[in-house]
Amino acid sequence: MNTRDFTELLKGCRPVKDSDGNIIVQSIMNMQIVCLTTDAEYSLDNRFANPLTSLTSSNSSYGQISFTNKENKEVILPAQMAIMTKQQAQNHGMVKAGYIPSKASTTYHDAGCVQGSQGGHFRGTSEYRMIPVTMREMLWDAVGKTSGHGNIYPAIDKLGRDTQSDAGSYLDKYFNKYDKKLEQFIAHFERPRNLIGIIILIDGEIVAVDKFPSFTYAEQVWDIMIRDCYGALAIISELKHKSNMNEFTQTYEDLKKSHRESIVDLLEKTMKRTKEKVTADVHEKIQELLELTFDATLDTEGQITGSRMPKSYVLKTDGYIGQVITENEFNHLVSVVKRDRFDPNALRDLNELRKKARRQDKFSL
Amino acid sequence: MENLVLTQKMLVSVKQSLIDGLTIASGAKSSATYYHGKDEQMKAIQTQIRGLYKLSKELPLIIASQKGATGRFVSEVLLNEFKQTQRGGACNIVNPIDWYDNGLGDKAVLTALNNLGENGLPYVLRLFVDLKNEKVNNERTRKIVLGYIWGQDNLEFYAMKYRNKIADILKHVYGVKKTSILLTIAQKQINIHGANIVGTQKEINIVNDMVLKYFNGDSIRAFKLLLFLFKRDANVIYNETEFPLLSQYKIAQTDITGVQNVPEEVLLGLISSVRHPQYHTMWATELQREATKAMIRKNVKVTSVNQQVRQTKSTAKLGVTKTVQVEKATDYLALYKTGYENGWTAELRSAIEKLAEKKRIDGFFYQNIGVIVDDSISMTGHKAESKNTPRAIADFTAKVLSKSAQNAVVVKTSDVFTDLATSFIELLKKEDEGKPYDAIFILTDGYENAYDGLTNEVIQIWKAETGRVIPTFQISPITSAEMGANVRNLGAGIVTMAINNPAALQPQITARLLEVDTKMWLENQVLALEAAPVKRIKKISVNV
Repeated sequence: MNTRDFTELLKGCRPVKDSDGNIIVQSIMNMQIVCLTTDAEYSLDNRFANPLTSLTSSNSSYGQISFTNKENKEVILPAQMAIMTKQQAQNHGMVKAGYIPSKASTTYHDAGCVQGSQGGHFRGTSEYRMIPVTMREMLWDAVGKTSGHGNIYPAIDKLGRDTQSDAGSYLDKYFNKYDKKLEQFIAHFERPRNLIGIIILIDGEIVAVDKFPSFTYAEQVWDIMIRDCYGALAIISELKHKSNMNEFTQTYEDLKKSHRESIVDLLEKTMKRTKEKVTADVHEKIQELLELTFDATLDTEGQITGSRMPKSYVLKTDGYIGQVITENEFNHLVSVVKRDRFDPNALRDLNELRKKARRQDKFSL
Repeated sequence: MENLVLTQKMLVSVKQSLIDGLTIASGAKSSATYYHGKDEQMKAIQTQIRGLYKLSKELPLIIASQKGATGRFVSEVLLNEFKQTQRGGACNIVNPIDWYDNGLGDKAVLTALNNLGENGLPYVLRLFVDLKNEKVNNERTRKIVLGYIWGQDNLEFYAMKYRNKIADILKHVYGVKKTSILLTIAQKQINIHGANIVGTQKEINIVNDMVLKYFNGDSIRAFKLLLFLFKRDANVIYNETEFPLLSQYKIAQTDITGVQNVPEEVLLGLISSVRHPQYHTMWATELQREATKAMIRKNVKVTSVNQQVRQTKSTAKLGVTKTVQVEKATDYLALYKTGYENGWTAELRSAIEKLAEKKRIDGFFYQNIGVIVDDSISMTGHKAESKNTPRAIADFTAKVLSKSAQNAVVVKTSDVFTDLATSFIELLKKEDEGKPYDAIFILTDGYENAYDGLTNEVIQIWKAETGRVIPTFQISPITSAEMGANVRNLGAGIVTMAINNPAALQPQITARLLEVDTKMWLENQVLALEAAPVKRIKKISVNV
């Protein structure tokens, strides 16, 4: 086991900012998205093939998925894809991301069924969906567990409760219920050019971070990630009747007390202040993550290994879990989520204590 | 016209139905969008029309006669109307004497049909095919269909371009037996090279009643067209003077090289048949196909300017150089998409300016307007829609609005993200104190990225602090059949409209304004229908 600092995992990346230097934060209800970009040289656009069109998948027993890469390029499998097929077969899901060399095949035995009592095996399909982000934590905890096919059932059950979709052990029930809403959800967010990653916040706390191998890859998976993966967060927020914060109005009321300008100037000033405040809040939250250090465990189940090939590590630390596909210290794909039970305030207290410890003088007489 | 018979009691429900109907009529389309499946769209249109008809049968036709009503909406209104008997449904707005006996109902149907025809002949033909599919074939419908088809000035061209479709429609309207009789008479007359019909009185009556009553031409010409449509033209001679297009079609059946007056798609249809004598030399391989397509593209002179503009990319790909008179184009979407996708030229920009000028809304309600155009990435459209459609609609609408008002300030969002609130403040900063805005238009899909509701917060604060009451319209280029197009509303107090064409703006604004005096609005519409110079056929006015 070795360690990975959060700063190292996202090296080369930076938040997308507006012309005034504010971090651009896109919001809906209590959910916010910060897009990350990088310099063009760190985006490996020509190296990897489209994961949604290059792979065909099959299985011959429950709890496993085989992928065949038909392209002449390597493929980085996004974290936790599901095969939701129209074939008379049991839908399955991956509990992690993966790497598949060009024209190669591999089988993951730690996959899981996502469709209860449905029987049958699928053949040569490319019908992919992404597993909702709120299930990620429980799935990464199941990486390497190859006995049985029930790795994903508990997470579906939790999703069903969180989203009132009565999913039980059927992921398709959730999608069937919310597909239209999820499709509309794509329109809420703009994908900037040269996107390399995303940070997701709920109620002002970072709950997920994704870094992709290239700008092209990010473009290829954007719609499906927003719809299938992050969409669950918005569904849950809506069910909890969460709303945005009316930040502008609050700021306006504060500034109004001492204003001497025209109304238009005051509105402009308020807008500037509002954006600065939103930026500052997000900045602070990202800053806190920079202190994180993850324990990294090599993941070999199903991953094709070779000395010159990317490797997969499962990342764990207090409150966060995830995965990195890395090669010679270059991180192709990073995916991290906050554990559901984790209260970031605990981390804040810990960091505060660390900072105090650093400031203390060494014992002397 | 007698006074309207609309009661005060009904006025309330009529008002709301009119507003809803106008909103849907200007946004309804049958194709899927980002937010709506095709089936959902159709279902919503049909339900709305049935509701309007039930309330009062004049309502759907009044709405379908408005400029800016989409082809799909008008088509469904007419289909619904033709399905009913002429005297079916209740007349609760107009006096039934005016509607039935004084021909107002007929005029309403024909005005709507002409409105549909302005979208292009294919829309009307599709409606007529729907009549066949729905097994609608009453006397009124028959006369309207025959009057429309035989009354086309350019029937020779349409016969060539939409041969099978028109033949299908005529066969349905005439019936199998009468079609057969007509074709037999036609063949007989053509075979004896008849200058005039020499037939029995019964035959003459049939031809007069079924063709010549509607057709602006001599009987021989009508027979030749009929025989062509029904593919009984093997022995018919189409000389170049009388039939400049069909004579070329005949040549193209054996040799397509050098043919200029046959539409490209018709030539491609001919050459791609293995029975065509040139198939093996001009179409059998990929290379031959590319060369043949290029030759056809180069030669054909009957392609509309709009289509030529749409073909800009593929023309270049085929390696053909063709001068297109873009200033004659009337399809703004084609012009914009060509610009977005192939680069802007001075000719394109000038053509758009001229077209916007042509489309300006006469008697526009507002004189000093502010316009915000959302230029974010989402406006390029979703995979379910044609690329760049929302963006083109928004850009052109902004241009038309600017030309319709005396003074207009246009602001575009400056980043890839939708930050309408900042643009709104920018718009306020650019306001001329001497010419304060009397309306503000925000052209957007409604998905703010800054945070949802921010624009509304800014607008509400501004209105509250200044005490100004200015209509603020959110115009969404994402159109759909559902109420409000299910478009995300920027907030309370902002009127949302979904349009797919600037022409739909006026009826949408009207829909809001008619709240002031619904009865007066209705009266004006009925008077306009009464004055409409429409007839079932150009030659004779037919009363059922």
